[in-house]
Amino acid sequence: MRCTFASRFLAASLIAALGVIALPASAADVYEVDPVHSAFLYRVKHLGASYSYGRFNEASGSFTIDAADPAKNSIEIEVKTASIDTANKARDKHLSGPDFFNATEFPTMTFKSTSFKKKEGETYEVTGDLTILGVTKSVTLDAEFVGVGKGQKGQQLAGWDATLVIDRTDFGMAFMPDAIGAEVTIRIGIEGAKK
Amino acid sequence: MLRQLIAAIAPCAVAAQFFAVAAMPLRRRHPDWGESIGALAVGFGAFTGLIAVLGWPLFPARDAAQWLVYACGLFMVLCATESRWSKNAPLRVAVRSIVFGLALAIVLRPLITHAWQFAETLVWLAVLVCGGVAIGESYAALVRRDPRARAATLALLTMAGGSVVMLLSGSAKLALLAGAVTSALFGAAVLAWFAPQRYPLSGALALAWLLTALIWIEGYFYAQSLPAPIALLAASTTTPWLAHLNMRRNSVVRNLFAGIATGALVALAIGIAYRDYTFSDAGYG
Repeated sequence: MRCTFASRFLAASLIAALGVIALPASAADVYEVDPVHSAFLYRVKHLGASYSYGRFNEASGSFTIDAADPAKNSIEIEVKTASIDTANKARDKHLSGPDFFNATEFPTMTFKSTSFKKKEGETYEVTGDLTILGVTKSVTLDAEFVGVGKGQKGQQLAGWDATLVIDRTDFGMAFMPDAIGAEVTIRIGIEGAKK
Repeated sequence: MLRQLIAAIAPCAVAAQFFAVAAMPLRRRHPDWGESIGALAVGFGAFTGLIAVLGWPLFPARDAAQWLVYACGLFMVLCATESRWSKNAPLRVAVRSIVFGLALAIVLRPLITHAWQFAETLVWLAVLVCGGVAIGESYAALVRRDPRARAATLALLTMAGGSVVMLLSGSAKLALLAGAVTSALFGAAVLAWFAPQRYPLSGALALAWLLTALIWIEGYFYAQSLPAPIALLAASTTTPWLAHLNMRRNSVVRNLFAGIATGALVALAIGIAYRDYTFSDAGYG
């Protein structure tokens, strides 16, 4: 009888121990970015008179959400620069050419987080490396964890919304500074499906 | 705006000043160094314009446009020295092909690395090197035959047209760079118009052409310039030969014919680029 109790106790302890070991792996969920339900937008001053808006239609990436330790969250995004869309073909061609994004020479721009700091509620300060035109700079995004939902196929979805202000000249995109402002506001809205 | 103005005017002023004044002691000591001095004059002029547009580039350069600054230095060494060491045409063509091929391979490196297959790379490089060097040799031969440098005048028209095509193709930066090179050649050509024997243009024209060819190639591959205007501009580089054909005895008529042919081809190239620019989407600019 004692032996049976001891065996059960040992088994229960082992299961609990394994559970503790497995906890960090199960707590960090990896999501693949769904480009259809994500948006990569920017705005920049045009001739000092107004803001010109545009978006990038093709992107990929993933993010990790660690419910137990948000500092372990991470995001990696790659945006195709040739997919720029400003609702004007001539402008799209100009922006993807050598004067601005130089899409043939630099087909992608990327963001890779290096740290997540929780602020109030579901807001975070996300620091990471932003690479545009082959130049990498550390930047900080104001990010909001939007929430978790269920997709039509039953998959778990989660999403982020983030804002970032950069100086495009820091990345070597210095052409036409009189016409197009140096300060660019970037808005990123991403939705991902749990892998 | 100031930068654009400097890029347009400074190359012309620097090239003319160097050709006429700064190189005077050198010219006195070596009267036969005219071609080399011409290449240096246009090289310094173009260099000023490229730096005005791009700023001082890092090494290695970050993109194809910035490599033009280093290509300018390389071509200056080539064009300024080749009249000294090579009267042998095949050797000159071979060295020029290697140098131009090297510059092309650097400028097109992103495509060679990521987009093209090995065979595709070989074909593109072979075609572009042959075309670029052949046109350069053709210009140099014409300028040597005709000290009054009428071929250089027609080349200026073609190069200026190329700058407009770059602008309409969607790259103001490449248009300014092409304009800077044209401006530098103009500065040297003005002197040659007045004193052709004193200011020989073959070295200057060879350098200006090699840089212009690189800019057109960048325009085609990176700014998605239409192939038709680039082909028409390339075709217009052959028209100076019309002035040397024996179809009429009257040289005035032959020169007029060559001028009209160049103008027509350049106008057609600009027209096609403009049509693409305005039809692709109205209202941008």
